[in-house]
Amino acid sequence: MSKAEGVYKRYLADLRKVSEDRNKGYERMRAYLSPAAFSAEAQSFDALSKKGLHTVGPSELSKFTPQTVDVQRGTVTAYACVDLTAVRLIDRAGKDITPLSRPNQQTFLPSFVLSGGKMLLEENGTWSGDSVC
Amino acid sequence: MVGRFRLLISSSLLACVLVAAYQETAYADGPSCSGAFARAGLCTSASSDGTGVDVRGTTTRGGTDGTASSGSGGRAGPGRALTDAELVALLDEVCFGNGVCGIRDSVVLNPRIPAQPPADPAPGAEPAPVITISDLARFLPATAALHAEPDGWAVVGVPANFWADAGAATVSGELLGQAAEVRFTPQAYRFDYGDGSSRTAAMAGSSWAALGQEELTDTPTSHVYRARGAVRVQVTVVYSAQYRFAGGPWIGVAGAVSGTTPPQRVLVVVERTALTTPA
Repeated sequence: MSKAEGVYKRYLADLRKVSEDRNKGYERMRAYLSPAAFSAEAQSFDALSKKGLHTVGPSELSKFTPQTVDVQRGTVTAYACVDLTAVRLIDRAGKDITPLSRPNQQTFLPSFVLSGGKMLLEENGTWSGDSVC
Repeated sequence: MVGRFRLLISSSLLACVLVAAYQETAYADGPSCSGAFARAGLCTSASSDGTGVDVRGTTTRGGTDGTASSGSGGRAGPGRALTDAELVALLDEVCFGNGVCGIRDSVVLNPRIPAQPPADPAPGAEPAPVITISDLARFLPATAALHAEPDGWAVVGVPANFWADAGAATVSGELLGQAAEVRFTPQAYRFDYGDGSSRTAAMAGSSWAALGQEELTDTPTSHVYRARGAVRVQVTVVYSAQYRFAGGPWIGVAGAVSGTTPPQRVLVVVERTALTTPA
């Protein structure tokens, strides 16, 4: 799991870097995202740019625990508890427009796949239960 | 897509350890969300516990029932565009204190999130007119209904159940001089119980029978009256709105429209009266 956790921490760190650079430089994420995941991130960053939005501030991975492991397929799914309290949504004018209804503590269910000896983040699923974190 | 499906654990050792620990929750219950959108609070989150927005099946009601016009002679419905302050208060009420909120609320209704801009016009074409939520409010047909059980009466100290019947509706009409369709989708419900108390919910509620509950038990939209008397109950349904011209793509409009049902009289009685004079 440590490899998957390392990938996820890198992912969160890069999300901050790209976001704070006004959604530029997401190419760096191609190194550890599956093609589908990279495409989803790229589209999201582009959509935010189109609306003149970007985010600032660090997110914190407070918990990372395994959910399932498939040894034959080389896949891992984990619960990731992410604290978004310090992350703010900023509009073109520099105004904080973070949705009031955004939960600050969010549970994700990232899935990873081993490919060519590398652990790739394949999907960032969401989890609506509140018992994990 | 792996996360959405139950995974087989092929190693017996891992199976012993992991299945024992995670058997009850071995699959994701929500859609995928990009990290970029998650940070912005723009993800769509599934809700397995009933706290998400309850979007009902679409009912198309065209023709005379819901036809409206943007001209002065048009038939106005009961719709009213909510102010930004009302929307923010609504989101607070629906989303906070409810565990996981259907984050769709914030995307669809939050006035602070810019709506998707219309597609760029074809070269040489006229730019699309700017349509606001106020332009669409008048199209809202009076299709919502309030149901109560017991029907027309309640007992002090005992839950009375209320629910709204408000499916999505598509209305044909004329918008800024062009034939258009406007689609309304229920997003939230505010029940005003007539005794000064109210409840805002992301769900419309249901009858005791539909919920599989005993009569006179609490439901997510029920209310317990504390004093006898006659009250007038109504429900305000909050809709998101989209429009389209000539069968083109649906275009979302920031904000929301609300429509309120006519007040329904409920006689609140004490238990002894209820047993002898139920109506």
